[in-house]
Amino acid sequence: MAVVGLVCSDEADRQRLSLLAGEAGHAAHAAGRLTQALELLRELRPRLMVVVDSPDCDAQVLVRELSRAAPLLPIVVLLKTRDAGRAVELMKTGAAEVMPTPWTQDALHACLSKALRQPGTSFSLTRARRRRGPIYALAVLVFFAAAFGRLAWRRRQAQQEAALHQRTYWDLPYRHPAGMAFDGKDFWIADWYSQSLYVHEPSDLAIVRIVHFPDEMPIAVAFAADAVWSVSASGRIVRRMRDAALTPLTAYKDAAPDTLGMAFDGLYLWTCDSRTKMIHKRIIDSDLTIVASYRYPGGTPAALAFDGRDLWSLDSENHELIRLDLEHPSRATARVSLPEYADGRYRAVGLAYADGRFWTLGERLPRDSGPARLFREAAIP
Amino acid sequence: MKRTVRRIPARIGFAESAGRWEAWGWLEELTASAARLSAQAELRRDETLSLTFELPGEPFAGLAARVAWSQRDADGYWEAELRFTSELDRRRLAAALLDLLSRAF
Repeated sequence: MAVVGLVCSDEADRQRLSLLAGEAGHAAHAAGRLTQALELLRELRPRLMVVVDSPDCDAQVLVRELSRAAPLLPIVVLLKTRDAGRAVELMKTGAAEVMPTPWTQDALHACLSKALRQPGTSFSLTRARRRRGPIYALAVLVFFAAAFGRLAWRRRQAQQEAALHQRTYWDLPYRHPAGMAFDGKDFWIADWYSQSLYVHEPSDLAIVRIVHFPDEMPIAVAFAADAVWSVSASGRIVRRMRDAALTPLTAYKDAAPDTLGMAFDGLYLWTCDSRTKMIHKRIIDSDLTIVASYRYPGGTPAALAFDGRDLWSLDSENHELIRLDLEHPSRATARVSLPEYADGRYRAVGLAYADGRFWTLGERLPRDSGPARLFREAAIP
Repeated sequence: MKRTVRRIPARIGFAESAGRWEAWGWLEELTASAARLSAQAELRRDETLSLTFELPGEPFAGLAARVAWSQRDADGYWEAELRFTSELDRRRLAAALLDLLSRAF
């Protein structure tokens, strides 16, 4: 018999599923919301979680959040409609199994049994005992391998240190940069004075496209959900089509104005507010609802970027990159100094992650005294 | 052969004449000419179906396949071996698998 957690917003469904799980031989404990589910995880340590997908309880969000809290926990999603596309998306997000309606006893029993018995990667703290055998010749070989290996390792360390100190930069043909993003192919840089987005090819930073906004000053740009997102100086966040004119699709009155940076982690749109020094986590819905806000663990957040695994921020006050804990972004898990901004000639205003490296955007100080500069930062180990 | 901890989900489409809902399952094994699929929906021998899935970097949509054999496992799920019937699909899959395996550690 396994302890099974159940997350479902509907009381009647919770009772019914608890009964079915009990009939399948499991002890079910129910929760109505994510916060209750996380509490249930901590207190009861269930072997499996069952999540019911519904309009007021998005299973994709739940799978992601529960997987973050308990990465090895199998999560089964029950659908209220028979939607193969939705099922596959949930499986890609991390659901161990997805079951369609109707939720019969037999189907649920099979699904829970499959999810509990699914073999995954085995983890262990100790290694298997080795077989005893002749080891003396092996020991001699190991000694010489270690000696030469150490020399090779020291040489590699020295080369890495040299690479770490490498810096490269490019001066750009405009003077008022405000933000930047990488769309997987090109850099997009916002210049507030010319009210334009400049698209640069990464190989030589040549400009391949310019998009002008006659009615607004873009100060930040990001890519999320197949759209281009821009923030204007007036405090509007606009979702745009990826066509030649970046046609506006939706304009949001920014619930938290003074947004200077944006980044998309695949599920949430993160924004940073330079005035209140807060990081906001938003769902891409009709209102860009802020689901959580966190105090920034640095000086002044100027930009955000997601490197595929972690959320990073650019601290323009302390001249550093800060890696934020995605569970608790008010906590920094790493800090990387940016010495090119230390002498005060440039103010860090933009951040992007491309091809394994961070790129920062600097505005020349005093303002309007020289071209903007794009820095390619050293690889972070 | 390379086994990965990440399982690949697949959409299963049935012929219109079968009158069945679209289903889904997991690809347990994949080669250029065949696949082993695990699904809660019943998979019948000699049934024709279409498979849609994604390999890293490349989507495969509506690959025609025939169920070579199927059986029910201990959990009540259906395990089936599918044979891809289109030569074009098999070649494309071969190229994608070759690329994927060449990048595997």
